[in-house]
Amino acid sequence: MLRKYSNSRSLGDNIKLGAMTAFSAGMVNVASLILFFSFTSNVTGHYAILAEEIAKGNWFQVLVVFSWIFCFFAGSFFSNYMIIHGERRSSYITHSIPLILEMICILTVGFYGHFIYSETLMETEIMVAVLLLAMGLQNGLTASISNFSVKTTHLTGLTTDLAAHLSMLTKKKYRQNKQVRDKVKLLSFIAAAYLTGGVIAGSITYWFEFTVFFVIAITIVVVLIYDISKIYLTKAIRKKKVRISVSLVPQSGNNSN
Amino acid sequence: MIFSVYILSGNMEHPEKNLIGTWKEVSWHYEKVDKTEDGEFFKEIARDELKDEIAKNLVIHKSEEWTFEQNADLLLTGEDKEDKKLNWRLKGRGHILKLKYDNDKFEVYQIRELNRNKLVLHFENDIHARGIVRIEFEKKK
Repeated sequence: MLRKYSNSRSLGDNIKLGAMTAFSAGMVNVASLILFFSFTSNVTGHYAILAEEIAKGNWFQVLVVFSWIFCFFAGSFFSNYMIIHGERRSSYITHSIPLILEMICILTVGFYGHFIYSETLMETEIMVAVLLLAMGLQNGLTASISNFSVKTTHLTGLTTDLAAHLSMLTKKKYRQNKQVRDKVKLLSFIAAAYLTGGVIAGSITYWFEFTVFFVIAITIVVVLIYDISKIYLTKAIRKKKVRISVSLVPQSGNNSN
Repeated sequence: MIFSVYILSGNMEHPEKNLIGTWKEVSWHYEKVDKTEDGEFFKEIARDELKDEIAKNLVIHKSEEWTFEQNADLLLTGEDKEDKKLNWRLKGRGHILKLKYDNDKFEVYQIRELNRNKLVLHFENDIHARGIVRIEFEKKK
């Protein structure tokens, strides 16, 4: 999921990465909407709010919303910076760093919310900022390593692309085009995963409250350990195969007598 | 950027600071689907049965003065009702007022306007006056 880069990624790699991260983004967005009354996985709405607050002259809100947008921007910037400046040979580690940071952000919100949060406005604003930073990190990572074909924290562009590609399928020429069919499949998986994450978060956040962020962190862990487990599993299978083949080879002892 | 933050900080009004104090209800309005003859979307609700009907299931029912305290307590007082003590918190970017009572119950109001002298709250309602109800307050000196 994380090791491969750009065009060397298969459809399966993109679907796995897209679905898992979209699932967590859907959960983060709905959980933050319930707990903080604010969206945290997309910034389109925040741009609209920023414009509205500037027009009204509510400078405190202008500063808050601007900071939120900046956090998302900073997250995406850092992810892409890590990827383009990172070592190609250790791509797994380079690509893991934004996700590890994202997990730290989400866990911080979970722990702070569960143990310390006294619901002041400043705490709410900071936690929303931390979650936007986390979503920026995630979106920047998935977009960069997939050559900008996987974006998982917002669905505006995805819905547009899905609609455009579905309309292409009305023509036989495009139905026979594997790239178009693959794109529809990828976008559908991402949209479905985001929605599923949102529905699950919506159902459990009232009971779990801030511990829902621990559940979200687990999905990030799954993305992180998937590649490692695959490497170890492949190595283990290879070793076993070698052992079996060695044991099947007839022993050529020194029968010089 | 630092300069713009400095400029902004001089003109900023923190919502929590603005809210603290005693607010007196001035008027209740409900949103009309169509504009009235005088071109207004909101129509004033007389302090009568309709207001009672709208607010009867709300914790703010028959409150006339709201006192927001620094420690997050909210004291609701009215002439013909017992005083009520709740917990208040601002959410989002300071545009949501969450009132908690009886441990786990809460009501949410949208803050449409808040400055040192004026507070306007909106909430959705579908009893009789279908649409959005707007409560206007002014700060007691």
